[in-house]
Amino acid sequence: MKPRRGVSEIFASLTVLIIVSVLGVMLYNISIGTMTDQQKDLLNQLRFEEQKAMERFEIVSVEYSGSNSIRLWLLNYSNDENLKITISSIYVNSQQASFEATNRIIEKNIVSPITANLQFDLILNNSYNILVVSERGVGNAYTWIYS
Amino acid sequence: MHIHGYTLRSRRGLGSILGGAFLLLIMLIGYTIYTFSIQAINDQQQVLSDMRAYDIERSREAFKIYGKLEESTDHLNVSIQNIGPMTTNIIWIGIWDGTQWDYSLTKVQVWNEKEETWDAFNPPIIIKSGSYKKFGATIPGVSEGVGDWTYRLQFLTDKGTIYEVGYPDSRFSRAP
Repeated sequence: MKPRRGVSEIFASLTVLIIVSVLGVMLYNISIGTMTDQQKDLLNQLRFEEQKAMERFEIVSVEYSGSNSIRLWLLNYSNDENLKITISSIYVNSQQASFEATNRIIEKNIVSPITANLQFDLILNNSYNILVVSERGVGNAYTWIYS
Repeated sequence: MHIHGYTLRSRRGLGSILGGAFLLLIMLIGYTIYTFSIQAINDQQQVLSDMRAYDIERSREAFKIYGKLEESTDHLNVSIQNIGPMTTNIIWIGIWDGTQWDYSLTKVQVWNEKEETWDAFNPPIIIKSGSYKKFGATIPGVSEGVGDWTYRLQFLTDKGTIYEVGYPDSRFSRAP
């Protein structure tokens, strides 16, 4: 009868090699996946911070538009040709005003109107503090006197 | 030890080579992540630096405005002179009518080289440092305006500077 010791050693070596290789590939894939996700998150975060830093907008003027609504004219003068600004909130005297969602995107170098509906009636000769906030968290304030 | 003519002794260095390869791979990945992070941080610093320069440029924009009204035609002729150190791009003129109620935007034809409307100039009107451009607008009833600032004229630059002048104003007594 032939001794089977050699075959067993080769089989054991191959088995260990396969197990180690499979585990190695799995570990490599998990590591690469995790690192790629982290890199994407970091890139997205940095991109957001960059866009926030580049974002510039200003309330050019305010118009009376009804007893409880005003029209704001906004200019996007960001330092990036493709940077659009999305208006997130409008506050008038610390009270949130509603506005139409269709007009909330402000294109670069275009003066765009947005009508804000207030929760109160405007009073002649009163001063109103208006705060417009974008989705990236940039704000612009304006003091308007209804005259 | 011999197994079918193969010597296990000859594989002694294989572990070290594999270990070295793994170590090299780990160092390569570490270096790539380090380079990537440094590059991303440098890019962000560059953006912040550019924005500081952008804000400084904006703060240095300055203008002088003169105007003249032709009462017979309601033509308001305006000259805007760039007295800042850099070239300026005018992207918009707003004419706000305060004769009726609170100021409202008046949509009028603005004359420049291309006779464009008030809402946007494409491309922007470029005014080099020290030079000036003439604009004009026909505003019905402007000659009948009385009191302070019956009309507000706004000039907007692409850097977000808003230069505002009212009409009637002493600056409108001078010829453009």
